[in-house]
Amino acid sequence: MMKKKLEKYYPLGYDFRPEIILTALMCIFISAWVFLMFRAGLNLGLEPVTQEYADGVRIIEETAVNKVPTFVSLLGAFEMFALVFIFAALTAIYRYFYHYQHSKSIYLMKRLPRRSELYKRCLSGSALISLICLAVMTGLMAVCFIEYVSIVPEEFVRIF
Amino acid sequence: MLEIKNVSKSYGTKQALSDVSVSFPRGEIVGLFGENGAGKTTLLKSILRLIKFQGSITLDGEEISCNNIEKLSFATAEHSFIPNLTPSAHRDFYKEHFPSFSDKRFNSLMEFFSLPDNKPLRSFSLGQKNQFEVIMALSQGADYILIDEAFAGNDIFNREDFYKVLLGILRENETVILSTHLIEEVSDFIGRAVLIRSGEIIGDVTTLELMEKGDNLVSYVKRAYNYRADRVSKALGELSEGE
Repeated sequence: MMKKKLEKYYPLGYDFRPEIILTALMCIFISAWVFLMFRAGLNLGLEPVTQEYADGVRIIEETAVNKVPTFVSLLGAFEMFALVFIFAALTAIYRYFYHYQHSKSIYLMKRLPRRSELYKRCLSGSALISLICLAVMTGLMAVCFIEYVSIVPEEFVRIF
Repeated sequence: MLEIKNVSKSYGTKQALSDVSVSFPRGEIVGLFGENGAGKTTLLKSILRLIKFQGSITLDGEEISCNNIEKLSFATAEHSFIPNLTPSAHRDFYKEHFPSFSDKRFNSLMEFFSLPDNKPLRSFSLGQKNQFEVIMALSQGADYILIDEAFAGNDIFNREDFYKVLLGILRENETVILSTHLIEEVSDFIGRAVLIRSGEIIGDVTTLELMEKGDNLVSYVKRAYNYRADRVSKALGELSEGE
């Protein structure tokens, strides 16, 4: 059912599953990498301003409020998601040139009364990849924020 | 009426069409003849707005646009179908986009050519692919059916069958513009011949005019192209003398 619905937004006869799988894999690996970088950055930022006692409790020095890394400063690794957006753009180009593979179906697509059909079928998949990526980024940012506020004491939490 | 006025097209320094003017009323079968690179395909692609050109091409007085493009269909030796789709999936897609699509004609022609309905086109032989390409062009419900060398690779019997079917199924208001090298083969089926050479129209004649003059299409074409019948014997003579 879902496949049937999606087919209308991809070139005719185009197997879009590899594209979706690759997007999912990219999002999973990049998310894992981004979270690791976030966590490492947070640990690294907290290290000089924490004291560890024998009972294992970590207390931040009260004078170190400006030394605690802000939430936003720990999000640099999110740039890695640019790879997914580049992938989305490349797939749009691939989908256009798909119409030249083994035939010139581009002739049929270009002479349809609904001229937007060709562009709809070339660009929708890329829009979907971008939306998936944005959703993953938003979710991951929420997870990172929860992690940040759960580790950094309330009085030291700074967003910007 | 499909009217082509002062159409020119160049690819870099090569002039593919040079100030071409010709019109095609409804209800004709027109043969568009010319050697390779003469400009036949460029002319058909210009009509369909698949390429940019200088000049004007109108259909019933209106520029070709998304408002009237459905009145034109196209079959090409390059194939414009989708190889991964089955014929029935093509039919559904055409029906969605071309409201005048003729199911009846599609089914009859599929049956006539014995083409499988549920196999992807990529598994078809070249001959079957050509047949399917033409079937879609004929079934679209267009007033002008442009066929560009769509039978390269089909055997003579197959092509004969097609010409007969074409004559049998065409409605009065349908026009076929058939671009081909096979002049002798189509001479009995076409009503008019348009000759193109180096991007220029060098001849335009109806078969009726030729009949009235006691002429035939092949001779007319040979004259228009300044074909020298003695060329081969002369060349052979020179070759044998050299030995």
